[in-house]
Amino acid sequence: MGKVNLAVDIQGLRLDNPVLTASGTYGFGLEYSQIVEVCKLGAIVTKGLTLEPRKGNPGKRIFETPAGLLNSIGLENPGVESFIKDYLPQVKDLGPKIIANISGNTIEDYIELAERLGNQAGIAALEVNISCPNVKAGGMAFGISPQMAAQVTKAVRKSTTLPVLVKLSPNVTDITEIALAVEEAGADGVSLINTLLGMAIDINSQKPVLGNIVGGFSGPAVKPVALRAVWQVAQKVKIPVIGMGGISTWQDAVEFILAGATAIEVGTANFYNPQAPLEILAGIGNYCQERGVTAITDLIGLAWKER
Amino acid sequence: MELVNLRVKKQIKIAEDQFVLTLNSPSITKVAQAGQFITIKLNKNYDPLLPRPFSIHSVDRETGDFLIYYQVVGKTSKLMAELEPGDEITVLGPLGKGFNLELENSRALLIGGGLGQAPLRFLAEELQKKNNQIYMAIGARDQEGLKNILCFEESCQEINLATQDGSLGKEGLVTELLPQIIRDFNPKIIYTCGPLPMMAKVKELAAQEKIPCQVSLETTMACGIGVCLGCTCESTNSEIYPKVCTHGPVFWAQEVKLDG
Repeated sequence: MGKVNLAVDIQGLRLDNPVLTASGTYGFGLEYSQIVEVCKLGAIVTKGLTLEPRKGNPGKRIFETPAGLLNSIGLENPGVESFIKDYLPQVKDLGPKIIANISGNTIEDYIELAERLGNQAGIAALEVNISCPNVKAGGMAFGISPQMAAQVTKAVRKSTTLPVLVKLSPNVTDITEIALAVEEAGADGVSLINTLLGMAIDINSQKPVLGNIVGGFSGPAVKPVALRAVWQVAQKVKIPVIGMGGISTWQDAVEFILAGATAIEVGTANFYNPQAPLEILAGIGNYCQERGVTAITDLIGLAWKER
Repeated sequence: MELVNLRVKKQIKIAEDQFVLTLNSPSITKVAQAGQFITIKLNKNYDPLLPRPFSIHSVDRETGDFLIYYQVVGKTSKLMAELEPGDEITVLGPLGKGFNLELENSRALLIGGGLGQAPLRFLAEELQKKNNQIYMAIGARDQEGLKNILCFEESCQEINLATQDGSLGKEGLVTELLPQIIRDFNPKIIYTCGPLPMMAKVKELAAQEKIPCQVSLETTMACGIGVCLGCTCESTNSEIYPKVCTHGPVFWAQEVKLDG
């Protein structure tokens, strides 16, 4: 039995394998590189970058619920200039392709971020965050309207030659509508889902737990919601779908691929099992081998494709 | 830091809902510093989901043993109490920035409240190696919270106790003992770990007497290594929210706000 071909191609973004780490759960890859063989990852998606440094939200930022995690970090990051100067030189030597996740308050912010990062050696693609639930301006506001989502996508598309992925919010009535809008606007791929809007209340203080009151909900608890979104979107769009949301094991990853994902991102699982991405990589390889699948791409969307 | 699966070597029940866990990892104990912590993930289950941080109670660099002193307060610690020798758990560490250990041939005052005692044993043992005199002051709700104090006997000159119900030591808060101790002992540095209101009071007293003071903070964490940016506290001198996991857990008292 020959080796399984795990390589995937997202409109020119060629990855050795389909296992990526999700924005906000892997920093810039430097910390986890001390305990994980990060060079084996398909790609690392950076912590969300903004034009200016952001200090993030005050008050309590994270709270665990059964099989889930609420966060309201608020896009804390050193800003794009510091990323390029202080982090990228080390980050680009980690091995995997680096996908820069970008977030703005205005369309102009996104354009400037795309231009600034587009000519940096070591950046393989952009993931446009139009779905962060934790910042007041911009963020999710762009991601809940098909027109706004399309505008941002079009602007970024024009500003860079890099492959452009657009990260979608699940906090919408019909995620396929947004996906179709960004595809039409020139996105090379869509990644989904970002976190679900949630909250928790402390029954002792009788106040919301999170400083920001609401936060993004992630972890194993959201997996069925994410899988459903990938299933729906993958059948509507022609561009590749990158699936994420609660993926913790190779079995989870295989489900997402069968639902139509070309690649997957591992997020919250990094926190409770830093080896999860590599375990997933090994697991999907074995799964293919055992079933005589020679290329991972043969599995994409098999759950709905007519055979 | 390293991510390793370790087998439980020993677990001792100290008091009602209080345990000391012995783990063995020569590589962790070799580099661990007083005030640093590890995270523990008990199994692959999703509830509890995240690893939990625990300060290092003591290390034996000859055998590679290290101790975790903990109290049953939530889901993880409840399950931890059921651990038996040979059970395997996943440990990440050592993590964070420990206590400042520059003090030599001098005098240190260590103040612990409740399970805030946990990192102070390791600290006392390290300070003793540098020929310092150490005074302890420990407060707890009742005498059950003072069942582990014998561990400080070898390293400390004097151990002062206070309980809120008066069942052992002076009745009241441990901070009420401090003015007298500071006058008598004249410490050159103060270290404290415990509830925020206690540490805030210690900080205030230390500032009054112009004694350098270090505090060890505890908060909810997800990753433990500075990635998730979830475990913030508030700085007194910077716009940035310091991360308890990497900028701390030990801070100079004047660097951080302690009003919760």
